[in-house]
Order: sequence, then C-alpha cells, then structure tokens
Amino acid sequence: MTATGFMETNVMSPATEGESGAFANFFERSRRKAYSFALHLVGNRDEAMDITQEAYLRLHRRWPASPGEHDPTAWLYAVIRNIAIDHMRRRARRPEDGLDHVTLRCPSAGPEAAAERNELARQLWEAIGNLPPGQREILLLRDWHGLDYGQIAEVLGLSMGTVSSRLHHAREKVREQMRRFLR
Amino acid sequence: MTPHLHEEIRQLLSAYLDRELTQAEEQRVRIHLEDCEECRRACEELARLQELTRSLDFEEPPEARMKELEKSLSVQAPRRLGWLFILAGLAAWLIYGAVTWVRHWRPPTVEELIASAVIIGFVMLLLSVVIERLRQLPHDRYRRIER
Repeated sequence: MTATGFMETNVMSPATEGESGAFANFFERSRRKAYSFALHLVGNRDEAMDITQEAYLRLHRRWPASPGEHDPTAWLYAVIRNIAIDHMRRRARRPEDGLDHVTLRCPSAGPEAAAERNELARQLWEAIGNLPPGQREILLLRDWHGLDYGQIAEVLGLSMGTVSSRLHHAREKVREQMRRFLR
Repeated sequence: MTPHLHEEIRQLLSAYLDRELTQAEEQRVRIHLEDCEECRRACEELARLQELTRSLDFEEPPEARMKELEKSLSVQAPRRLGWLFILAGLAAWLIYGAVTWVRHWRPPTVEELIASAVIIGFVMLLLSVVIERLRQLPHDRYRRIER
C-alpha cells in the first residue's frame, strides 16, 4: 500500500459524513492507513491491530452524536495516537522500528531494478528512523499519510507554526542523509 | 543575494511545496527560486524526497482481523438500540407496577404474572452474563477495548 491511494480518497467533507453509511465508508477508506499509523507508533503488528480495533470502536461509539463537528481523519489519528501512547506507557518500552515493514513499490521493474528500489527504500526508512520521534511522526503524517498542516496540528496538539518548523527540520535532515540518491 | 535571504527562503521551502504558505510568501519564494540555482536545487531535492516517501510501500493489515472488526462494528448500532429498548421497557414496567401497587392493590392478573415472569427471567439471564464476564475479565486480553 502506498500513500497515493489514500491521499486521493482522503478528502472528506464532514458534512457528507452525516449521511447513512458514512462510518462504513470512512472505515473502508481509512483502515489501512490507520493500521500503518499504529504500526509506525508501536512497531508491533499484533499491538498495532489491537490499537486500530480499539480506535474504530471508540470512534463508532461517538460517531452519531456530532458527525459534522470533527474532521474524522484527524480525529481517528488522534485517537490512535492516544491509545498507542497508553499502550507504550503501560508496557514501558519504546517503539520497535522494524525496517522489514518497508519496501518501495515497483510493479513493473525487473529483479535488478527492484533490488535497487528496495535498497533506496531501506536507506530512506533508515534516514526517517534516525529522526527524533516528534519530527519523524510529522514527516510521515504529512508525506505518507497525506494529512495537511491543520490536521497534523490537531492530531498532535501543536500549533501550525510548530508543525511547519518541525517538518522543515525533519526534511532537511533526511535530505542531508539521502542527498546522493536525490541528485 | 544575502546568506540571510537564502536561509529565510530555505525555511519556507517545505511549506511552499505543501502549498501551506500565504499568497505573498509563495510569490516571494517563487521569485527567489527563479534567480537562485542553489535554492532551486534544494527545492527539487525536497520534492523528490516527498515523492520517495509517498511511494514507500508498507504491509497491509491482517485481512482476517479487519473483517472481524468490520463485523463487530456493524452490530454496534442494533446492539445499542436493543439495550435502549430493554432498559426503557424495564423502567416502564417497574413504574407501572409501582403505581398500580400504590393506587389500588389487587391480586395480579394472569397476563401480568406471565409478563413479570418473563422480565424476571430476562433480568436473571442478564445478571448471569454480567457475572460470567466479570469472572473472565482478568484473563481477557481485549479487556481494554471499548465494545
């Protein structure tokens, strides 16, 4: 799964979410990204799935009360993040950033090109993994999950200026490490 | 061009690519990029980086668990409505019984006895489920999930 597919369907008008079946549509469109976000946070598949499940059940419980008041995407991410923090706090450990979760999509390339792309993905994921957690989270929320600055600010409880500044620093650090691949 | 201006524009490049700048800031960056090769290259590298990050391909969630979750979500609304009806019915029946008792005591009719038996049986079943659930709770790995 890549970020592109989700970004195309990520634009949801809160007004239309009040219609019948809106939650089912939202679930269908967001579930893969939601799972990945949880996986990025806790680094464990079972735990990520538990967190995703808990987040959707919480959202569903409160969904009909005020469908127009929330941006459902930001709301979902904020709930996942809170649950993940809770999980990590309870287990007193840091996320396990497994590089084996990542490969670059390369549908039509031959084995050699695929190996090159995988190496590029590995390097990129390593560079992203070297970022401080706060910067890495913002970088992934923007560039992979496709959230805008306002949504990221809502999810993380930060100002838009802080989001912009952290994103700038995060990208600059990754660019520095990836420079030889970018030219 | 001063180094200060380069640094100022560099700090805006990220937001420029994300279209998160004001119109005036965006125009300022665009004009600078037309004249500054170094900043233009930095901007292109950042754009390439964004593209690469977007194309990272992560594993899919386990389909069986997702289906399970979907099913669980689909029964939430009728379940909630069912509980609402049960609680409202029980409350109405208790109020009716209390009012009848206070106003004019008389031996209950056969219909009332049958309805009361059904309700008492139903309440006992509910209690047994709650007790069983409470006994299982310490061993349930999904206990923190709101259902």
